[in-house]
Amino acid sequence: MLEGNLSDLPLPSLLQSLAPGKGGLLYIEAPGLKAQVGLSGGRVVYAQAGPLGGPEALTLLVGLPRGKFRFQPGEGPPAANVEGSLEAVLTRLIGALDAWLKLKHLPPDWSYRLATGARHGEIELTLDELKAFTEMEGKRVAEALLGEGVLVRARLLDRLLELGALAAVPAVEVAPEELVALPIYGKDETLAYIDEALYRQWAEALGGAFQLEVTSPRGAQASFKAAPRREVAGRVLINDRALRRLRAGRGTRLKVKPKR
Amino acid sequence: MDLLTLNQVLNRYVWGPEMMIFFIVVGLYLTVITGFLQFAKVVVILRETLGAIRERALGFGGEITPFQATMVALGATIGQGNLIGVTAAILAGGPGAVFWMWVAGLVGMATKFAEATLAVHFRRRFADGSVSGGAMYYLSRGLPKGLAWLGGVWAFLAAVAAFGIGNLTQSSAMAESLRDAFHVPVGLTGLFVGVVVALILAGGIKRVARFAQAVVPFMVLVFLVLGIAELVLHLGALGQAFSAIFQDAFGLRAAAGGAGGYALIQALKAGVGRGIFSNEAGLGSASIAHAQAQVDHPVRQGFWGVVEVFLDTLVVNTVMALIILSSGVLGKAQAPARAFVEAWHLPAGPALASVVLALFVFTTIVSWGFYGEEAASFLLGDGIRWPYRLVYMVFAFVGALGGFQVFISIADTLNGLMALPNLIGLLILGGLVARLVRGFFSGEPWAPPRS
Repeated sequence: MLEGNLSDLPLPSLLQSLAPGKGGLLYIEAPGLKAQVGLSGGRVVYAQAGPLGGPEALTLLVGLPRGKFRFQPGEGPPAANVEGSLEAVLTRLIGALDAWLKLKHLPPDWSYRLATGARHGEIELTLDELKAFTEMEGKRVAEALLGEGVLVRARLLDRLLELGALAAVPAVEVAPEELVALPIYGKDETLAYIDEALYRQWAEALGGAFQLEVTSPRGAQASFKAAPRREVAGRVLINDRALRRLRAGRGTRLKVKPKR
Repeated sequence: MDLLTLNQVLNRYVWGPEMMIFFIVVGLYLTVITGFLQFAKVVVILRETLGAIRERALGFGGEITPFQATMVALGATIGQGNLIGVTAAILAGGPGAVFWMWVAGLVGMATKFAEATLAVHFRRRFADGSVSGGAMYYLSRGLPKGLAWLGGVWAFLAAVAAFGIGNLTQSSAMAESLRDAFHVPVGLTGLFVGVVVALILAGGIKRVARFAQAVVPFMVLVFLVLGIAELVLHLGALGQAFSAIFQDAFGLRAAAGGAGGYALIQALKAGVGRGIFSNEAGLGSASIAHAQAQVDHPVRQGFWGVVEVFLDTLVVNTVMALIILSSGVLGKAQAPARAFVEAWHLPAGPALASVVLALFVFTTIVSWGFYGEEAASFLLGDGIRWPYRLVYMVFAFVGALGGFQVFISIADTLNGLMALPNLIGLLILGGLVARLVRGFFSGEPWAPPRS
């Protein structure tokens, strides 16, 4: 069994070294992406990456800068969806690799999440760019690229990143916390306060200011701008009126999730 | 003038009408400056305190919860004054005293609110996470430099008074009550009280709080169940009792006999006195307990101060007063302690009332022990804690045996004197309390004063 990472051994070289053998199944895993490539009779016969199958899956995988792989010799591919000789497939892959290398703004880590960029709102986008922006915002890079026309999507994403409409930020999965509601009074109903230690921890994980998505036990949801406050460990302080709209009150245990 | 004569003169002043007027004036000032908070914000106060009772075990990452702090304070305020003291007030001032007790209680809510709020605002937090606060801290840290010494004076008065109001008087009342009801030897009661109090105080505020959290709500509940059952027995007399309260409050019944003015003054003196001293609003003592609560904003703990007075004066005292007024003991000349016992007509009522009295008194001893210890450590440092506890334990034991009238009388004067620096401080710091209230209701975070 052969194991490694695509950052050390790119896909074309890997397939070239594996193809002459008995055949088997190559498993590739990256955050937000699981893929398989089947080899049989010295040829690449099968490829699947998420919902993408066949040559489109291979086009995506050749652009994947990092991802663990594991080759299981002797394991037969579940189907055949790639045609052509090994040379023909490799030629196509090298062509695709050249296209990927021209995309200078894609992050090396496809686990990054696509957040609204700093220049969003200042720039004018074409219809295709706008459509891509709407579709890709909030997703991981790998998820954003998973669709028909991988290279077209990749070029659009690269452009949006270049323009600053989108920004690729490290995706940190912050688990929601259960915090006890404490009403505060006054006019501002847009802010919610959490303990300064938790605020620091979440701000560091998310790379700056963030919103709090609050869900009450009755399923009501609201979003607030997060702010830190002293001496409130285990609590979330929400304006009394906003709290009542959430159908919650003092002492209600609320699910609180930070979001950039 | 010898020491005892001086003490008698001082005692008359500190527990006399002049001081009562000072209490009421300060209470009214705080009521006005906080925008009649105890009335205007009654819904918020109830939601933040009794409405949040399910959070009683939930603090803010600190040592004791706001509920526990209030139970410690209530443990101190609810004592024999709520039972025998109320009986004495009605015997001295007539049914009208109850009305003036309510009025004084309503005014006292603002005073206690201010004390609890300032206690949290000016408390000190030490490197080990422990907290110390109370009137001695808000007087020494909050008042202008020239008056900061009042904090030390208050601490001295509290540390000594604790042996009287909080210890000897209570221990003696408990021993007498258990002796009369169950023939328990006073020495045995004293030994029990001394040892158990020492064990509780040895655990510091956390153990005191756990004790108060378990015992105080239980004893109040037992009293209310017994009290309401007793009132059901005299249901027919309740209407008459209420009528007597309101008519006598303004001397209307006595006026018919030509003694309206005298009756009014007697009712006022007895009622206001009970309304002030039963809940300790103005003495500053409860601020020591409230300071321990871990809250995000001092005003939130202030709300518990309001509730403390409500439970003490408007609930417990009222039930006791109605029992006295409906039981028929009024008018039969007798000592308050005797009248208190004879007012109960439930099967085994007097015995159960004695148990309630013993519980009320015991929690007072524990809470005042903590107050005295905190006050002493403010003056002399942490090293005084254990010696203070041991002496306090010995006093609890010997208090049960009786005697010590001179010391009790002096401690009683010192207890009354605690009000003087505290009320001066509340007058000066009233503006700050109002600013804290405005900040809280504007959603502003609390900014503690710099050390």
